[in-house]
Amino acid sequence: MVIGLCALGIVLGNLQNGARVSQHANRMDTAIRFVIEPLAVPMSNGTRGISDFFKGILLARNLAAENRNLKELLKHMDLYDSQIAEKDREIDRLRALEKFQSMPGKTRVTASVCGFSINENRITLNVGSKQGVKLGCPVECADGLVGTVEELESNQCQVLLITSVGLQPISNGKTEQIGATDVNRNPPLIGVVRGENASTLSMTFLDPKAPAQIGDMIVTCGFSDKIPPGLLIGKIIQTEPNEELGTLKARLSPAFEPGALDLVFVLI
Amino acid sequence: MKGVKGWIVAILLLWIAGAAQEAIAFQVSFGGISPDFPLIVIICVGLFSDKRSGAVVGFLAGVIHGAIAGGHMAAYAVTRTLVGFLTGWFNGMEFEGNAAVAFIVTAAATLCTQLTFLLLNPRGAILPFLLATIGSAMYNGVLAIPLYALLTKVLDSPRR
Repeated sequence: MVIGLCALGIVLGNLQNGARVSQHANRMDTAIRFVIEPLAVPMSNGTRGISDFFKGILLARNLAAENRNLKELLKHMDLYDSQIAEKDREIDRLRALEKFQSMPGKTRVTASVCGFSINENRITLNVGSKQGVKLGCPVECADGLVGTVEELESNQCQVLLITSVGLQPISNGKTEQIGATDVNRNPPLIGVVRGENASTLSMTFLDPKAPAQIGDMIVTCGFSDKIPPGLLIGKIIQTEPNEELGTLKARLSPAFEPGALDLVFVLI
Repeated sequence: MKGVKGWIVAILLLWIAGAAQEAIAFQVSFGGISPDFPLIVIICVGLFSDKRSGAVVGFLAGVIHGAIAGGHMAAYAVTRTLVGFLTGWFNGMEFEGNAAVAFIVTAAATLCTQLTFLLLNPRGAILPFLLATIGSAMYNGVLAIPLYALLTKVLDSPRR
């Protein structure tokens, strides 16, 4: 019996992998999540509510001061919003004149994190294809790039975090690494980023003699039809030149804190 | 675990554990150590079950965990089926069931399960995984104590 159950588990695992490769939602996963969801959502909201309640009591004074500062910042940002919108329109007009593709990630879909699988480096969001989300769409939070949509259902999706080991975001059915640039150097240094472990990213620079420094900020370079340029990925915490292979690698600390993810934006 | 009542309790616990794993496991994690609620249910229910029931509960928990995690369904199903079977087998031995046994069995089973999971699903950074596994084993062991106490009230007493 145990052997039979193990064999059945392997068959179900193969079905799950097959569904992922063909970029379809696995019906069994969908059915189980459908059953779990009605309890998971209130559970998540309840624990967050309790946590926020006690945090509010303990840090009331700081939160009030922070709120005032944020309101001030918002006022200042409003002054620039109209200018940014005008510049964006101008960029779109010029790109249309030159017959370039439109820039990806112009529309933000707000989503709540309703699940987190620590071992798999995945989060589940409460938005899906009905809200316009597509496979491979980047997901960001206030701190920076979080990951890309890897599994899609009608009302929810799963996001593979950029910290995932060997992350290869999906794009048009193929896989690619994230193009990134070091914005603290002039000219900016170009490279590719991939996950190394749950809390670190690795960036390989195209130029093995790139003068990257610890503390440099790394953002997406936009060499993708899904991931727009300028999303903060993280900052360099260590550089590792390898003269034998003629490469320069850097370790990055991701911009976001996985455990603190609550509200995120899917860029469609 | 005997009769319909036992299965209803087991399925209800698996449902709650699946939701808790999806919704609150990461919120109650610290230093990369997080609880594994379905695994705790397998072991605690397994301490009231025979080998066959333990394996079925383990299989169901593995499939649920694999589905909500969105990956490694086979690794979850196989490891959890084995741990459910072994816990049921352990229950068949002569022992005095109490909270300490629940803690020790849960911690040991978590270590074995995660190490088997590592073999089935190799990963680059082994040391952080091992450290997190040891921490999770202790965490799961502590959480198993109240669940075991609850099951003692709800289900028949474990065999002695």
